[in-house]
Amino acid sequence: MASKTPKGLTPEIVREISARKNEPKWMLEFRLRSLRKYLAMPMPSWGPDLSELDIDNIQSYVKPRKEMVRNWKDVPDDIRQTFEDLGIPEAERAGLAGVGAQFDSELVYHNVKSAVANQGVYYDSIENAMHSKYRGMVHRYFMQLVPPEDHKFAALHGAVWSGGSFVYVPPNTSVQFPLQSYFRFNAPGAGQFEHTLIIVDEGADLHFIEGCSAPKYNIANLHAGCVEIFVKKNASVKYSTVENWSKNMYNLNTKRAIVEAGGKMEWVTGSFGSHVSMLYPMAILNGVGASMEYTGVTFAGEGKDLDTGVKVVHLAPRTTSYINAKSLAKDGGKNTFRSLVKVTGRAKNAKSFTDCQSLMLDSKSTSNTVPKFDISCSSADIAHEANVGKISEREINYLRTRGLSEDEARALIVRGFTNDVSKELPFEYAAEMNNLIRLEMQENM
Amino acid sequence: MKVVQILTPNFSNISNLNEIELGANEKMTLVQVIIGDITQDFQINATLADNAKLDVHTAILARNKSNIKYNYNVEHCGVNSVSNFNLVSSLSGQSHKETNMTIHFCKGAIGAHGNEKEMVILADRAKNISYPIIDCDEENVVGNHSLSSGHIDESQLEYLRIRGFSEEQARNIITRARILDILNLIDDDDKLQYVYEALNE
Repeated sequence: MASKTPKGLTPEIVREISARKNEPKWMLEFRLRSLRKYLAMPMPSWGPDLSELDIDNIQSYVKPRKEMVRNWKDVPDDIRQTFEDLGIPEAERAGLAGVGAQFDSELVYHNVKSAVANQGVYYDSIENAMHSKYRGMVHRYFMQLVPPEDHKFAALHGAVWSGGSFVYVPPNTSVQFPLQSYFRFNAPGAGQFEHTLIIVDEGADLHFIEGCSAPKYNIANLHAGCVEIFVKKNASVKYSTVENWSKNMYNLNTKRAIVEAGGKMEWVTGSFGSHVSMLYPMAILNGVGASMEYTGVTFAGEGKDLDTGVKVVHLAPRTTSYINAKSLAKDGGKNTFRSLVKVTGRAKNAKSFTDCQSLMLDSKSTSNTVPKFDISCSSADIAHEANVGKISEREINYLRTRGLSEDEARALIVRGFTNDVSKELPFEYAAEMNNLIRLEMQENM
Repeated sequence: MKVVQILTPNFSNISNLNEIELGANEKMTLVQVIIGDITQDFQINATLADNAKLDVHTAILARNKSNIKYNYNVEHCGVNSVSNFNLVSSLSGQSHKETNMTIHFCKGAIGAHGNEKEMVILADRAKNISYPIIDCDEENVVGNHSLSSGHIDESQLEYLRIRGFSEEQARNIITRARILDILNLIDDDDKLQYVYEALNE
């Protein structure tokens, strides 16, 4: 079989992907059902312009030359060098409990430290999990939180997903160091559709890091991954993402968590790249006292339309959510913060606070805040604050009188503005994020 | 210019204001009080030129099965234009309210300020939806929105209850206190009389 599927999307392509993975029958049927949904659903009528995204010209599956391995030495030299340049093996040695590295449509490397595996933590490709003792879990949870009916690109994902990770953390297990999946996208004109399924059992905790990057091509690439997280009773999950897709990328990713009683979900997100992003991590607070925190920064530079935000649904009493979103727009970039806070009648004494701040760095750019609050509970306390503005001249002058140039002063203020996010990340990732901010600030200066 | 609009069971002079155009240096204050079992859409569309200022103070006390849709759109086209929207709502019974608020800063509206402030008190079976949108095509502007939605503080209710007020009376007193600043802006005694009649019903 060829290492790529033909362009476009047909039942034959879906069958071919499924056959390559030797999938059980239920998964093939699921893929075909998703394809039917995808073909029947219209493109979104809101948000950024997707008219230049031609799915008929996207290759939905591109296989790297070699099967997944568990030792970096066995990864082909050029692919390994790409990940070396991104600092992934070094980060693994320095302080990660496990790493998955995906190149185009498949994982090329996956490993988990023996100490973590000995705790009973399972971290492997989702394809391997489907044939392991966890196959029942995969069958039970796969695309239950993000069903194909959810939206057109969820249906697309259901039809052609490939790669990604499955994580299971047993009850009362604390994973001391983060797990990381890194998605590298190298094929021009292709799509990446990895699926990440995380189940953290009662009383356990996990920090999962996701990194993404791609070189720039002149034709559109599509990323329509999916992340599903099940946070069981009194468990805790932190999911951190630093995303730096190239400027030809359509990043239409879906991330969702369901949090049971006493559980906690924390999203930390840095969005810097892509031509178009539509990304709204969501938490469903399903048990008494469940909570969600979202801390995110989005930096829309030249040629970027980044439509990002967060959604939270309070379904149970005493649930809490805290949303802290920062966005920046520069060099004609377009930034939109979009959020939903929904509090149902059952969510007695729920509390939610949303703080979104936008900084306009020039008059060529655009910044929008589009929050929605849907409140059906009298005892809920909901608060929201939004501010849009520019960097204060007084602040710049203050720093200039202390010897900084105007550009240095602006960069320092921007770093301070985004500090809420970087302080939530491990040191190496905070450094990477600050580096991306520095590069964005330098462009066209 | 000040405009006072009242909608109560016994009086109404309210109308949609679709084409408010404030020219350079013009100022307008709009005071609205809406009380009762109401199913209606309300619309305010305003465009502000240089140094124009629009202040809107709206109190909504929706009862029973009210179904209210309130749309507020302001276009800041002029430099140093200012808009302030202050909305206080109390939704009792099975009332439903949806508020769409959009402040748009056009390119060139240097120094413009747009503020939206919303406070909502909900009864057990009431529902509130708010879309507070800020669209910004100009760097040198300030846009703010704040929302607080919640219930009446139990300690305040208790304070009034131990002084002989029933639960319902206590809630009415506290709700009135929340809109008092808006009522104080009504300088027409006849209109104020209609408002107090409606509040006492």
